[in-house]
Amino acid sequence: MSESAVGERVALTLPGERRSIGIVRLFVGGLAARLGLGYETMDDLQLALESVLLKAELRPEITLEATIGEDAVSLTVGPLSRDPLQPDAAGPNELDLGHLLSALVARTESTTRDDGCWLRLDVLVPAGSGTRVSQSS
Amino acid sequence: MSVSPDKLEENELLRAYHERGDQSARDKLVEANLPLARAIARRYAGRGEQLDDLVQVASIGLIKAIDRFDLERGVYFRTYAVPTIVGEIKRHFRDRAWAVHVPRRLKELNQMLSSLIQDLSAQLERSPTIAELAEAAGVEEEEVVEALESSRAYTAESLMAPAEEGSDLDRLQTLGVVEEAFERTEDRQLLATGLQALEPRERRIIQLRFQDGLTQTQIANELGISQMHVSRLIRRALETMREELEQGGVDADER
Repeated sequence: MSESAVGERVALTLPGERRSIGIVRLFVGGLAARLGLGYETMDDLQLALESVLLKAELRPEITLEATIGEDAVSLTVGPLSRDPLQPDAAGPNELDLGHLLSALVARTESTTRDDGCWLRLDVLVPAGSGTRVSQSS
Repeated sequence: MSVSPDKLEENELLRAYHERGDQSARDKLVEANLPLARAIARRYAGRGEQLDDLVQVASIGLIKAIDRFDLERGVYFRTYAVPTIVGEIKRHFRDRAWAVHVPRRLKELNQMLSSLIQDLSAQLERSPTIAELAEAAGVEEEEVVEALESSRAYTAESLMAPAEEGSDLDRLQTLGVVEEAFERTEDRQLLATGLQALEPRERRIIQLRFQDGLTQTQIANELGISQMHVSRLIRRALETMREELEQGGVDADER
C-alpha cells in the first residue's frame, strides 16, 4: 500500500543550541524513513544541517520545517542572526558553507523574514522512492 | 620546576628535527612537552575514558603537533600544540567513546547496518532506504534511525557543544586563542590551511566529495571502505579543518 506524502509539512522547534544537532539528525532520519530517502541522501542532508547549525549564529529558538513536494523535499531552518551564505558574513575561521552545501543538497536559498534569516535546503527525491510512502506491513 | 625549554631553545630543537631530521631533538621536544599533554588529558578525565588512555591520545596529538609544526609561521610551539592535542582527544571521544554510552543492541545493530548498507547498495545499485535496511535487519525503522544516529551523536555532541557554566572544555578550546585575529587572512588560504591539516586519506576523501563531486558510495568503492566509514571520515575531516582554521587565526595574530 502506498500513500502520498506530497504537501505534508512537518515542523520542529527546538533550542538554538549546538547540542540540538542530535535532535535535528533524528528528525532527518525520521523524515528519511517516512519518505523512503536513501541512506546516503539522508546522511548528506544531516551533514548539511549539521554544518549550518555549527556555522550559523543561532537564535534562542530555531525552527526546522520540512515541506514535501512532488519531486523534492525542502528543509527550511531559521531564524538565524545573519545569512550564513553571504560571503561577507562568512568568518574566515569557517569553511565555505556555500561550497559545502552545494555538494550535499540540490539547491540552497536564503531569505530574510521579519525575525531573521531563513535558509532553505532542497533535496531531490528519486522517482518512486521519495514522496510516495511505502508501507510494507 | 619547569622542564619546558624556552622559545629559542624549542625553536632550535624544532629546526634540528625538521631541517636535519634529528630524532633526538624530536625526543627532547616530546619529553619537554609531555606535562602539557598530561595536563590537557586530565581535563578530559571522568568522561568515561581512563586517564592513562587519554594521556596516550594526548601524546599522539603532541607528536603530530611536533611533526606538523611550521617554523615559518613564527609562533610559539605551544600555541600550535594545544589545539592539536585537544583535537586528537576530541577525535578519540568521537571515534571510541560512544561504545561506553550506547546500549549494546544499538552498537550491534549499527555494525550490522554498516554491512547491510554495503551489501544492499551493491545489490540495488543505489543507496538503500531506511525501510529496506529495517527489513534486512529484522528490526523496526525507528531502531535503524536510532542505531545510525548512535554511532556519532553521543560523545561528539557533548564535546562540540558550547560549554556551560565555564566548563573545562570551553577553557581548553579557547586556551591561547585570540579570536579577533581572523580578519587578515582570506578564506581560500585558510581553507587550504585546513586541508593541509588532514591526513592523506582524509584529504583525498574531502577532495573527492567536495571538489570532484563523488558520492559517498563512489568514494567507498574507490577506497575499498564502507559507506558509513566514509561518512565518519568526512565528519572527522571537517572537524579537523575547523580546528586548523581556528589555529590559523591564532598564528595570524601572533605574526
